Amino acid sequence: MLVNQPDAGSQWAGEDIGVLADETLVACLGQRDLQALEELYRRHARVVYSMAFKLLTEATAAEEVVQECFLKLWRQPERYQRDRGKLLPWLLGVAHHRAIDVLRRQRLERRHHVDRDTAVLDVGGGADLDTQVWGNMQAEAVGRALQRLPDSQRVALELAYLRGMTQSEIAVFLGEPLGTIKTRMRLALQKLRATPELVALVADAG
Amino acid sequence: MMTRDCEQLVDLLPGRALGALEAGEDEVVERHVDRCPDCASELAEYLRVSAQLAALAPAHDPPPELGARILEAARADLEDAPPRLAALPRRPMRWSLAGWWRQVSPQVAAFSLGAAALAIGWGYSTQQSLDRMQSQLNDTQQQIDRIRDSYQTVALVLASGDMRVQNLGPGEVTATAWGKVWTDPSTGKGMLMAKGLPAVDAGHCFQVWLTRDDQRISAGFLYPVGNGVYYTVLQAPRPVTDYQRVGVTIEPTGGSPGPTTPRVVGGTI
Repeated sequence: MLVNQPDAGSQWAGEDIGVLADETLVACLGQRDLQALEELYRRHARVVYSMAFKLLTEATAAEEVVQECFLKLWRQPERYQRDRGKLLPWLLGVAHHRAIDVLRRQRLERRHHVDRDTAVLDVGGGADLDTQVWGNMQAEAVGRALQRLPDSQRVALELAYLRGMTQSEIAVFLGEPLGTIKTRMRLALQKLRATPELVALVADAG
Repeated sequence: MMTRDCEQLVDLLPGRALGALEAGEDEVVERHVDRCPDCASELAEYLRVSAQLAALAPAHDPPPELGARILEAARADLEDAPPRLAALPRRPMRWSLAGWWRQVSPQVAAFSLGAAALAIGWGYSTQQSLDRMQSQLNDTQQQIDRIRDSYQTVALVLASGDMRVQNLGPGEVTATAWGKVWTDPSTGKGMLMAKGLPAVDAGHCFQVWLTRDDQRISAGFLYPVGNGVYYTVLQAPRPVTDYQRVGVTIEPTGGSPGPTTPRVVGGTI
């Protein structure tokens, strides 16, 4: 436990906070309940940190992203709207957006451009599967769903989400018109959305 | 409803979800979805799908001190600033003592609390009194916010062309209980009214449950609105029309993770 002593703001004495839904805990953040924050961190920090680390490839920057993400939830819990979906995708969205900002700033500062040789594409089912962040089954499900996409669509998704490239950068990188890249992204997300095993995964992961 | 703005922005939504827009485009999308529920819902769906790609990241445990650092910063907020308003009150109202706070404006409440602080100042330190005043003022503001949100939902449901009404019958506690549940499939919102409920003391409340495929979630608490009528806007992570049944039980104030007493009133949605 990170909170070792009962807090004045905590109302959980004798209750099992672990059984409460994420959405309930977010509502408690509005009442400044530190234990609710601690529980949400315990549930989701690893996934958020792993995603940020994957994008930024260094611990300090990834930690800053995670910290900003959870403190945003703490300070503005009303920004998460439960009728627009589960908490984890929202948290990942906030953290991903922030990580992309950091990545692009780093690239500008270092005058670093993504090198065609270093932009190794990650495909689910690869060598990293044993340590995937949501465990084997989930990573394999995502990997299988991605493998069923046409290569051109899968590459566009991965360059954007996991490499932090903009649509224009991807268009230049792949030598394709910008409109084509936008269409591929939309089709890819729509196909993934219709994948039954991913629908189940979201329910489990959230 | 699809507007010209929507048509222009719909191509940007996948890129927004994947973090692939150009500088300035994110803000355009955010401004639009703030006032367009259809595009907000579409974007949320794309975000939900794109978040799956995080599963491809190899697992890394954050360093143990990161959690402590975040909690420390959060704790410092508590010392620097008064409590914020809840998006949704976790505790139902206090039945006897604090109920009257709902009836007064924040300004009147603040003034009354100031007077109360003077009266009880002998017994408590100034800081304790201020803390309690702040807490009560926040309770008041929460209730006002809740009532305003409730009215908005009620108006939405009542204005819907698809609104459904179901009668609710008594459970095993008292034969006099009955109620109604109104739902709107187009917005997924709904509200519940119940009458003829047994009396509860300050340590107990009426908690509402929604059931879907044998899974039960808490949908909030009933609030008295006078003449023995209780009412709430249903709170659920999914559209309320996705649930098959609704029920109400008596639980300790603050609610329970699951029902601990027989149903007082309930029925199908």
